[in-house]
Amino acid sequence: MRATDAVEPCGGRPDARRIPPSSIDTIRFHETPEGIDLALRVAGPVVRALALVIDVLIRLAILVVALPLLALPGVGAGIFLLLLFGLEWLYPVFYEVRHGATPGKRALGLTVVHEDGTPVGLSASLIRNLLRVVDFLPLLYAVGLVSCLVDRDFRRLGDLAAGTLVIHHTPPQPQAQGLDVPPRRPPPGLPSALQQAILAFAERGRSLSPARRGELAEILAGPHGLRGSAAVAAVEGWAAWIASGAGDAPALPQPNPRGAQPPP
Amino acid sequence: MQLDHVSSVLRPRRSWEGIDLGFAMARVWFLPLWFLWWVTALPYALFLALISGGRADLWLLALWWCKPLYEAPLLFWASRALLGAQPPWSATHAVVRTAMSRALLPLLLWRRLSLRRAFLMPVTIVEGLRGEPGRQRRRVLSLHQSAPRWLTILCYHFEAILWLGLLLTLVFLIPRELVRIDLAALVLGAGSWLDWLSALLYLLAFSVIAPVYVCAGFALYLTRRTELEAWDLEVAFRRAHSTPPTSGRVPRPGTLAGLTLIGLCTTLASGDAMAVTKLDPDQAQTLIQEILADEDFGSRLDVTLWLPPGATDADNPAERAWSPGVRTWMLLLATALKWLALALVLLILAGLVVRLAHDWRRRLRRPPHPVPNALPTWFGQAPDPVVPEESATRIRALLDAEQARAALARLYGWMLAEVSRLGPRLSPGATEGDCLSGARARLPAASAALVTRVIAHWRLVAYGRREPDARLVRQLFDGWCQVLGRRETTRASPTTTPRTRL
Repeated sequence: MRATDAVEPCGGRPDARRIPPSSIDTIRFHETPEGIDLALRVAGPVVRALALVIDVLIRLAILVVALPLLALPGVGAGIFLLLLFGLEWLYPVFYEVRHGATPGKRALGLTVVHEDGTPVGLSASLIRNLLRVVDFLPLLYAVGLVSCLVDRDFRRLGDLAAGTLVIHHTPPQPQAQGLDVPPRRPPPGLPSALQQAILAFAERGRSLSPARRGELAEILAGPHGLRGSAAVAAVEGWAAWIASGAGDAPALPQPNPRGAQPPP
Repeated sequence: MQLDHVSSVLRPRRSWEGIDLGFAMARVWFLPLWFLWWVTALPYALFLALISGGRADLWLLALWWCKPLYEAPLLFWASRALLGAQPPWSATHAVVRTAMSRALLPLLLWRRLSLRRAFLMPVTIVEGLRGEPGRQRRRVLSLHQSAPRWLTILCYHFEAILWLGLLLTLVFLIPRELVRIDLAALVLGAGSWLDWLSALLYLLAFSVIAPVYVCAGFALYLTRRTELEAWDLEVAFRRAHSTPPTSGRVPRPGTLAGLTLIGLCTTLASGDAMAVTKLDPDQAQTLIQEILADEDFGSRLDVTLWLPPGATDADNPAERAWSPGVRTWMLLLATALKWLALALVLLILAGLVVRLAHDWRRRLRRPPHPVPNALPTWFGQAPDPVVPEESATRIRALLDAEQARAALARLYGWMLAEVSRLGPRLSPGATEGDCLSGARARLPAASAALVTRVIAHWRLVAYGRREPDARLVRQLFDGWCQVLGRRETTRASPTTTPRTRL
């Protein structure tokens, strides 16, 4: 299923309330009927322009290969013109419907999806690619560039008409490896955002310098009187505890005080 | 750096996403940044215009080279805005002064052509690092980074695209009659006022792309440092530290009770906290049922849909009114009527198709133009094909037989044939007036006068029912023979192809 791949694996917005309202980000959230916020990371003009350049080069290469066809005066030229037409209009549609993105976009990790994160369909792909004529005006996609700069989700006119987004696509992350440190019980009442941050610290800590790791760990473990490597070990122990699934949120829900009936 | 107040979301990103974040920042802060750019760049532009000696291309090149000068205040402003302290309009002067006080000389000289300019500028402008520490920081930051170079290259192209787009739009929108603008001269520069127009448009493109470029470089810098130093984790840790542990969500009383219970249990049996979570499956099932009964987990859905009649609603009053037997008959009747109507429609359609096919076939078989040389008809009766000699003898015979009316008609027909022969054929529906004007245009004056008289008499005969005078007809006939004979003798080739067609 490409739709779920294209979406952030975590898919959630655990710290939505903690982000200040004016915060700037390139994520567009789409709430599903199940109340899950899908996070779509929209792609901006620079990476899309590069993808376009790659696609143009691929098409040019195909045309250069097909150039000898022109030597045949009648049929050859006809086939060449048909090829030209197909490459201009059907090449993006074919790849977008088939694989979710043209080769250029795939090389840069981009995917075309509907606004709700589902894979792009034939009609939407046709509309967004036919409207390239308008985006191209007056030359070299100037209108599309301005539209990308102005729109919140970097959509060009074709995307606006077809209701599509170009998003960053990353393959699902491998499951975090088990931590080889003994689990330690974290202080009670850690909010889920902080739990995620502690897990991320344990996963990404190896790429940080040791001094920086200690500095970060001391923010959390400092009040408990731990410094330096001891603080790092403590925070990693908490991460192991959280990763084992024990958590410290109540696993045992209390009976509803309002005494609701079981569902019929 | 007070990372807690950062107004953009810090998280590990790919470098392309970092650039996108910069574009988002530039969109949000575009107006202040644009204003700031013009405030800084306009004095330089005026000054350079004075010393460039009227050469627009030199002026533009000098302006382009001095770009770091106007980008520094933008970067400084953006860094302050990112930390949640947007400098107000009144602080513009302070922002520009602070930014200019940084070490800008290397940026203007040997680092001007660096393709990583926007990415590395924050080290100088925001951090204020110079000398060896600055060099080290730049080296670490730009390790294995290709996106900053692409950002600079593409922003140059964006500027050019905007400039050309503006130029072309301008040229397309100005009417040709108003002012002639030579596009080639405009783009290539031909040393006229057009050069300055083009340079000014390029300046406009600079001003639009500059905030975007600076913010994208800054965001790339943020992304890289977040990657190297895990700023997002620092923010998360600090935020959690500064707020009470449970303020992240508002627990319901039940949850709170559960929390305290768990807390008690874990403190009492701290050795094996996992044991508390073990639960008898039946007990768990009832618990799950109770929780699911809560209205928070339910949902109400109103559905409107069409159902076939008689499927479910047996107590429909319309159905109760009929006894079952009558209903069956009515249903049969209705079905029969339906099929009858359908058959009728099909029949009508088939008839239409046959009719259309017939029409088409007839239209295809008919020649594309009406029969050539169809002469005007008189009272639904087509005149005989006219051959001059034959006409003359017949008219003479008619006159001898005292049939003046028939003779006049034949004479008129002969004249029309003559008129038709000399020019474009008269249409079958031509009136006497049309024939007259045709004759006047094609025949010599003497014959035309004769035709005029014949037509006048013919009108009297045809519409006034007045019997013509035989003597008059004979006189007209003689006149016509005379005119025709004279003309025949002056013609070079008496036999022409149209005559045979007549």
